[in-house]
Amino acid sequence: MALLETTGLTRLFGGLRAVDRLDLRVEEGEIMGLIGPNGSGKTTALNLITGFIKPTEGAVTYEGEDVTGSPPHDLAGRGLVRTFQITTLFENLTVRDNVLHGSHLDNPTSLIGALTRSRRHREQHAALDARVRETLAFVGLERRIDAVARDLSAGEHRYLEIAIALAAKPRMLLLDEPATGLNPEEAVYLMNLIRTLRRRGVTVLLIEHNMRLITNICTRVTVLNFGAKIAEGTPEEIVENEAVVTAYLGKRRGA
Amino acid sequence: MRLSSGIWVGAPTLVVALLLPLVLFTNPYNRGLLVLIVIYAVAGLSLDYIMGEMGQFSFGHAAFWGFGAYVSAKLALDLGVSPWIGFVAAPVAAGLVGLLIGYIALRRTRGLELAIVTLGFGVLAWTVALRWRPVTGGPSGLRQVPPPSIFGWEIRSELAYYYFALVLLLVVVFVLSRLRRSRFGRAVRSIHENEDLARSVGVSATKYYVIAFAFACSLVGFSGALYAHHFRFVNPNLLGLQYMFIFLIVVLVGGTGSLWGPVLGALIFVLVSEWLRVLQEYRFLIFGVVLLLVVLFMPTGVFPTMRRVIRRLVERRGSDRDANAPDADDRADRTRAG
Ligand SMILES: Nc1ncnc2c1ncn2[C@@H]1O[C@H](COP(=O)(O)OP(=O)(O)OP(=O)(O)O)[C@@H](O)[C@H]1O
Ligand SMILES: [Mg+2]
Repeated sequence: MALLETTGLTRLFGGLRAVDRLDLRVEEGEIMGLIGPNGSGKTTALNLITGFIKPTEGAVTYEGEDVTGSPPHDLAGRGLVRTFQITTLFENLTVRDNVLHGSHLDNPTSLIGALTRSRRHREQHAALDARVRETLAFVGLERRIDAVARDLSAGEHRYLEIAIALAAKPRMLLLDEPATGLNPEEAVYLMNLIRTLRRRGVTVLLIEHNMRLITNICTRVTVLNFGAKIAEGTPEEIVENEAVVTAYLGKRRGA
Repeated sequence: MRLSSGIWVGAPTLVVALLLPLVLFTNPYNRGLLVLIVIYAVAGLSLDYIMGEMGQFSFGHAAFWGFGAYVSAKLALDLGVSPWIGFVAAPVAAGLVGLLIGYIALRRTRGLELAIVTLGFGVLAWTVALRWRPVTGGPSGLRQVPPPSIFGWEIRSELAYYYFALVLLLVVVFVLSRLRRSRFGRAVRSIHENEDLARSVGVSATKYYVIAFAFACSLVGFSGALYAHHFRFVNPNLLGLQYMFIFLIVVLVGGTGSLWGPVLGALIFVLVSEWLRVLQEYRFLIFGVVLLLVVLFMPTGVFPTMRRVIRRLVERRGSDRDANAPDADDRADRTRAG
């Protein structure tokens, strides 16, 4: 059984078929690449899967259950967590608070505990704080823990975004162009990070334009063009696929 | 760090607050002003919860305040219920109505919708208070609202009521400060900071915002009950635009997003308003202009702006020491304000 599956997933914007009858299967433990030219519907597909927008037609199945139209917070609660194409952080807060706010699902403290600062609460909070530090260490940001998020560099922004998503304890992580704004060195760091996540049992859906990243870490790749799937296979198969090459060279449908 | 700086500011402030009625505010009238400051501070804190923590606005905040006052007054007058029960019933009732209003207004959109729905509620509540004579007493409202008593001793004098209300204000500030760092407080804050991101990490934005709004309504309802049992009357004015305006001044003068802000704002408002008493209704003309200037030139509030200016002056002098290393809390404050 696939961890995530979409069947006939379609979304219209006016007359535009942003996502067109997409069938996607992601098995547990995979790193699935999702590529395609600009405007081919990758982000829209991710928004549909994570409940940020509702499909015009079609269904999303997660863990074998129909979750079509479920709100994002419910899906996050089930382990389906996404990041955003445009860097999205709690800009005005410190790095630590960013991850603490991201830990909503992983925060066992009660209201009464917080008001009374009971011993139990302090223990729970200390443990949570330790997990926050661990997550920050994992993405290499532990030294920036007290910095305000907006003061970070572009690369650090991307890592912090991932740290926030990880704080939600994802079973499946959907990354929307996480390498944008990274220099080659930082991109390699990101690559290793995603690999490590996979080893820890996180399934990944990776939208990316950086083909080096895609060919290096993806187990399989799905290619979109004009909202529809035009190819699927291993990275090696994809780079040799004629339809894919044509799509990337910018030939229009019917031209 | 935070604790000690809190104590350094908090302890002297508390001492001053305790001494005020014994030194400066010695006649009953002036002590009544102190009570008013405390009551406005609670109302300001609750409005700032909506403005500062949630980034929303409610035009119906005075309506919830007046509603709380009426509920508690009515219970005491008609059913002979103890004001103590009123102090619980008023926030519960205001909170329940807040839940309903919040649910209607916050299900889908943010910002304008809540402002409009609460404006509608405000007008509705005011009209009901004015017209439903048998229950609300009409334009003249309800009189002879009894004061609360402890061990058979009535908290009737201005002095006693001031200390009583001051304790409750401290409790409110304490609860609010702890609430901010709770899971609930963080969820609310995260929605304010970035709603999509909050939703993506599992925060049910609508649920938390509806509850947070109801909480603020409940707090202001409590403030209203405090008013009713001290000034011992309620009338439709309490639900109206004038008090809405007062609470807004209290928040904007003190500055949004801090717990001391509304307290300071209430103090400044009541004192200035007192000095301008000779002007009667024209006071509000001046307040209107002041409000305009504050919004234009000190959008983060008078208190935070002052603090920033002073800090900048201090930093410039001691720049060879640690001017370049402001602590993290401080920076978070400043960026939030900006
Ligand atoms: N909210 C919207 N309203 C109208 N059209 C939209 C909306 N969102 C996306 N689109 C359109 O749908 C199409 C697919 O957009 P989408 O953002 O999913 O592409 P993408 O593959 O992520 O592109 P990129 O690589 O540039 O990020 C585009 O033509 C876009 O203009
Ligand atoms: Mg995109």
